Amino acid sequence: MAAPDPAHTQSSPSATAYKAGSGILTALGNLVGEVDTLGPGGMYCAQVAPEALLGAATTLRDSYGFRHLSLLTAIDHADAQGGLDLLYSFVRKTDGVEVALRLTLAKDPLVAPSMAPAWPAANPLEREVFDLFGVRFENHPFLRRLVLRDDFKGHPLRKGFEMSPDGVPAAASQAAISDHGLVGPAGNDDVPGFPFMAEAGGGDPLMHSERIVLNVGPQHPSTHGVLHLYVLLDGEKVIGAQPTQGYLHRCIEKLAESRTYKAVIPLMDRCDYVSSFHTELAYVLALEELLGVESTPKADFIRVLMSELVRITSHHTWYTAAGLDTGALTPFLYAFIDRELILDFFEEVTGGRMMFNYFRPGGVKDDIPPESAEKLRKMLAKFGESVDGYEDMLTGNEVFRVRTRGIGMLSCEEIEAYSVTGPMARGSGYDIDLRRDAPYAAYGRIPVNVCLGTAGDTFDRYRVRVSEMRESARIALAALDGMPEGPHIADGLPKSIKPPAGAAYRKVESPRGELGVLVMSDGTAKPWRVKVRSPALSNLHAAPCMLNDCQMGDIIPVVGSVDVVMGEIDR
Amino acid sequence: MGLSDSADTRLSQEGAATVAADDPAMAADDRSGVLVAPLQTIMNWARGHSMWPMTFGTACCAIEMMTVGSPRYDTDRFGIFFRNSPRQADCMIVAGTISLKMAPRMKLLYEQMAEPKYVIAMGACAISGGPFMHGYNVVNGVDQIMPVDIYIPGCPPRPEALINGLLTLMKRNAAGELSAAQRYRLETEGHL
Ligand code: SF4
Repeated sequence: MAAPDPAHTQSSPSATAYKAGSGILTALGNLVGEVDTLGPGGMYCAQVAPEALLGAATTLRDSYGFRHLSLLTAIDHADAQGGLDLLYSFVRKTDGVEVALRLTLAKDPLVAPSMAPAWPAANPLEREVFDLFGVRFENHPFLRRLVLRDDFKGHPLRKGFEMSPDGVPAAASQAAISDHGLVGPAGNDDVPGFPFMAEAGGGDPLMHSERIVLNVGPQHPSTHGVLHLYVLLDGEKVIGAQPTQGYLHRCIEKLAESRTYKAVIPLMDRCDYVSSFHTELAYVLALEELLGVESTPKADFIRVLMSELVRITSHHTWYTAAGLDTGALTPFLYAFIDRELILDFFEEVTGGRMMFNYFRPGGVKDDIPPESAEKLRKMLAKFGESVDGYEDMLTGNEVFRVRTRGIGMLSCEEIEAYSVTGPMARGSGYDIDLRRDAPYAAYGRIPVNVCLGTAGDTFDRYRVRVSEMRESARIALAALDGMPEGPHIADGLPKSIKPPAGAAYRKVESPRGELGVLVMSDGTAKPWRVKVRSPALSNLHAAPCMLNDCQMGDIIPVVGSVDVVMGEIDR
Repeated sequence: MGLSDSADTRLSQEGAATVAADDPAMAADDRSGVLVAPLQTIMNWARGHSMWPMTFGTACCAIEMMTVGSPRYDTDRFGIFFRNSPRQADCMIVAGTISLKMAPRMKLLYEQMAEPKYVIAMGACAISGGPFMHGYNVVNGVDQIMPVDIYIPGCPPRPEALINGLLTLMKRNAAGELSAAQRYRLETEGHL
């Protein structure tokens, strides 16, 4: 490995932010036990006892300003008692300091206190841990499997869970289609019913309305992937909503445990398939932190370039959907013309249009051909005009404005409570953006203007995304112009990657928000645990707040404004 | 009246002649513009020239499926229009991974489609489970739960590949070949 270049500023933003965390954790006093680091990167983590968890978490939130719950997951010990660790991480918005809490459950039965009543963001995350690890959370308002079918046997992310070497047998698939796998409250006392289902029936006596439960999805003409919503309606008015998910659970985290570190990168591509580079990048950054490797300065710029271009294509797809949701087809036709031009560039550089497998620990797989860079530069220089065209079609469009202005409101309190990130938070004027707050790759060397809305309605979320397209084109151009000469990948990296034992959690700003990847190594050639923190999952579970009091026709535009990508939500 | 009459006649004369040129089983009467052909021939001709797939994107491949409708690939020119309802669709493009939770819903949608119906397995996942075939929640190929007409390899397949698959299906229909579902039924009933 080449000696680190002193002029090359440390690409990891974390060192100072990590340090500050240690003092805060120690200040929690006897709420926490031993304070140590998660791994070689140095994020601080304090041990907590089950009884102290809620106290420690709420003290962090209320006295120290750690209002953002970034991570909530479990890591299996694979010991004879069947114990595991629960890992929580919290971020403070003001200075980006991040701390972690670790709760060790020594043995079966696995029972932990639930944070969900105090911290709504924990609700879906705890359900996921219950589903995949079998931890029961006491006092959880609705502890039911999140992604798998209710009739699934076992908890797949436990190390003891045996996967059949050939996958699901044909007979099991055929058996699965004969019923929907729903074990209702009647069939199984363990499975709670959806809370508001019981409220169906009599409605507003004045209006002679009836409360009904409407099923939206998982196959729906407006195709936001395989999203499924239960909506409780009183007449035309929405009075409750509950997203369900799991139709695209593809076992990515479990499969990652049986592959070598490099072979996990293609799986990361398929997590968030609309902006594959971001999951790849978060994974590669975490891996580099574990390995103690730095990418080359040129690769840092290439990473920024690619991240911004893929953000544009992701917003193109979203913009298309936003048009279709409100009945406009033309935006699709125009957005996809420009999207193809960017995909051409991806194809010339990486060989793939959507699935890139391009980032590597230490850099990127291939250099950018100069002709392609020239073509891209010309395209980006004119990109502003394209965005003007997009705005002509929707921003001033009376129908679009009426359908989105003042609809689907999200307040800053709700954003904090549900750990909402990305354009959804920025649409309400909540000023966060990891590219500026915790710069990674070359973001520290290229200024990023954060696009903010004010109203927090569907229209402002649209405005934020359209402005981000312009901004991304500007950053991409700056990355192209500022790209230093030099190798695109550090040399001297070992062929087979075996990071030292430990964990690293790194985050990037994806088009949907804070996308994090936790990689844990046990010193072998395969990761012990890979966890993807999905921004869209947290954002989606804030949708019920936005839908309350909406009209039925607004459901799709409002949920669409979350920008769901089910691949990443379900994994 | 007379003017439009003759214009109409000319149009139908030309139309009948063009159609008849496609197939030796059809004959066009030059003066009246009447097309004479067995009903099956006319149906095959129609099915070979229009295909209405249902939008059923479950995963990444769906993004490429959307792309075929966009200006660069523009499937409209082949008579291929995406429909949102299974009731209006001839063909189900299974674009993406099918999980055990999704499988019953997919079967339901398939059963809602009117005959004759076709299934296209787009991408590695729909063919075999693809990169996730060893997973505990993934159906290892849609042909385990329904008859498949066309397989399109790729992860994801390029839009051109999907168009090629659709055109292949339309050519088969024009030639009057049986769909996979029809063949399956005849086989299980012992006719084939
Ligand atoms: S074949 Fe590849 S691109 Fe298509 S759904 Fe499967 S993983 Fe995604």
